Amino acid sequence: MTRDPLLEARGLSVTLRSGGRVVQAVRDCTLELHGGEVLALVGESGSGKTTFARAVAGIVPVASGELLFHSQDLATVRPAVRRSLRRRIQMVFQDPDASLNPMHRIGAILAEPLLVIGFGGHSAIRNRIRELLAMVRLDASLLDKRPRQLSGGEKQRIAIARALAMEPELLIADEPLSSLDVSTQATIAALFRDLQQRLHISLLFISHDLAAVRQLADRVAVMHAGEIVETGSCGAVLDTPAHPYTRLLLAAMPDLRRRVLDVRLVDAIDRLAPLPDQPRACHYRPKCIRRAEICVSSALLAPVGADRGHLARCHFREESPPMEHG
Amino acid sequence: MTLGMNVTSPTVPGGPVLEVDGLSVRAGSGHLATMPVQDVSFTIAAGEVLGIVGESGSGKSMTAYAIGSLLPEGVAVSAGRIILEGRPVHSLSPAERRALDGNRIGMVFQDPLSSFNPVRTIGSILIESAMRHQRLSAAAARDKVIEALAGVRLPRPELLVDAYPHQLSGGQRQRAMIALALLNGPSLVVADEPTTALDATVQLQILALLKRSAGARALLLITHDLAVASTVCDRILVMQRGRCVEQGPAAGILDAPAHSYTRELLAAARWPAVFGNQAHAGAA
Repeated sequence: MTRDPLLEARGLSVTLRSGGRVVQAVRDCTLELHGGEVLALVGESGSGKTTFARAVAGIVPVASGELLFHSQDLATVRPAVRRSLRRRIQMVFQDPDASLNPMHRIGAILAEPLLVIGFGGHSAIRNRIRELLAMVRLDASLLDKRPRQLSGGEKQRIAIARALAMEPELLIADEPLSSLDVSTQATIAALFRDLQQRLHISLLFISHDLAAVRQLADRVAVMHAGEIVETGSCGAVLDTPAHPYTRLLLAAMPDLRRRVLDVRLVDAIDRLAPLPDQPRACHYRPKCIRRAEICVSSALLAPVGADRGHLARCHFREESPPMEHG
Repeated sequence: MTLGMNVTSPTVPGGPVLEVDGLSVRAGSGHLATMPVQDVSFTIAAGEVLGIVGESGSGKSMTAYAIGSLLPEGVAVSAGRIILEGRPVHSLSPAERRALDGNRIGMVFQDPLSSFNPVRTIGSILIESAMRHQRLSAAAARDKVIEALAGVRLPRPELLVDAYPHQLSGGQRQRAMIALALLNGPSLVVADEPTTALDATVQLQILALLKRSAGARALLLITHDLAVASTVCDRILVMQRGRCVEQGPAAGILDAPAHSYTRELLAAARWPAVFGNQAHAGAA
């Protein structure tokens, strides 16, 4: 793609403090997201995927590196410009119960962001709210209800409608399906897909569910220990994974077609002799069944084979999986 | 036996370990009463894994709570029978139930952090249970518990026995929970969404541990996740709005579902069906 990316992270690092400890939650991450694209961030808890998303949303501060939106560095741009840029990045959270005020009616919840941006008079706001509800396929009769009177799926639709009120170009969705029933998950995923195609919104989709990612994402970035260890098109990463961590995630996913409980890989990892984490070594090395002497210096993200868009942070990225599973 | 527990085999040779017959559960009273579980029947044999699958509000957890006599205040079994190893247990007094539950039924819950008392060490909780149900001395119970923690492959159990719940990872807490559930050699293990809060790699290990340690016992697995059920269950029972809509061998339920709701659940779990022909081909 020759166009400038909508969002660009260059060497992004985020440091979190909890108690007396300082944790490098995101380390030196470089990632692009283009207009109208769905990028999934995957990884297990503690991988840094949520912190990365929160840094993009401006919820946690960036420790080092650059975060460019429309080619403008969000850290150094004038505050007035930053505010208008930030408005175009909106976030939907995992649990709509925690993000919707239980005391407010749905109408008031949706009116709030419109009042903040000075959208217009009463009737303009009323019309806009109806438009927003229609976008998320909800009936206007819900306006006088409170969140607890709505189903989980309806509440998540309201949270999405509220994010859309700001007319975002980038929607960050942090595990937006995890708190929902299976059948509701599929309809909310379909709604995201629909919004992205109809409104040309880019989506940064954080998920641990590789089945959902496969259906929703154009590209995938796999995070481990704060680093991006593999990135590429959805098909490349999920069908021909090059990093041992991506392979582990895929092997561990319960699959309705395979229906097996194959613990060989996970158990092999458990049997590895413990290794101290060295600053320059690959962070995955302590749990890697392919580890070798060379891994004391971490590999850079580098192309896998001829696919220039498929990158992996592994010295052995060109090798076929060392262990068959499934 | 690697688990190092005194395994008592079910007392009814050949018969089911658990028999649930026409179980109904009522919540509240009068005209405000609801029926979270209505006329549900099933059996689980020794060495068998039954999965109850359903969405939130389907009554799957209430069914588990009824079997474990853990129904919340104001909720009660209103009809049906629960027969464990040939003994009707639904009509026992609370004291009789408590004695029975610690011995014959082991429970595993979704979030071990909220099921363990945060101010007590993991060991003290297990030791108390072993002392009460197996009438062991404190020292013997401690040895037994260390053995049990080793049996669920917790590292350095002799140190871990004195750790507090928050000092363990989510996966380690769930292992400790399984050790507690198996401690007194139950014939039935009931696991309610045991891996929902866990990462996929940890989930895989916990499911494998549950299946392996259930061994010759009966295992009832409550889950919303058909893919999880498909990896461990011999039979699957599908619940919707308090009722059983379908049950049978896992392969039959997954390959040839008879009920439309089961087909809906399977379609949703398989994803592509929802997106129809615009399903994502990806680059591959």
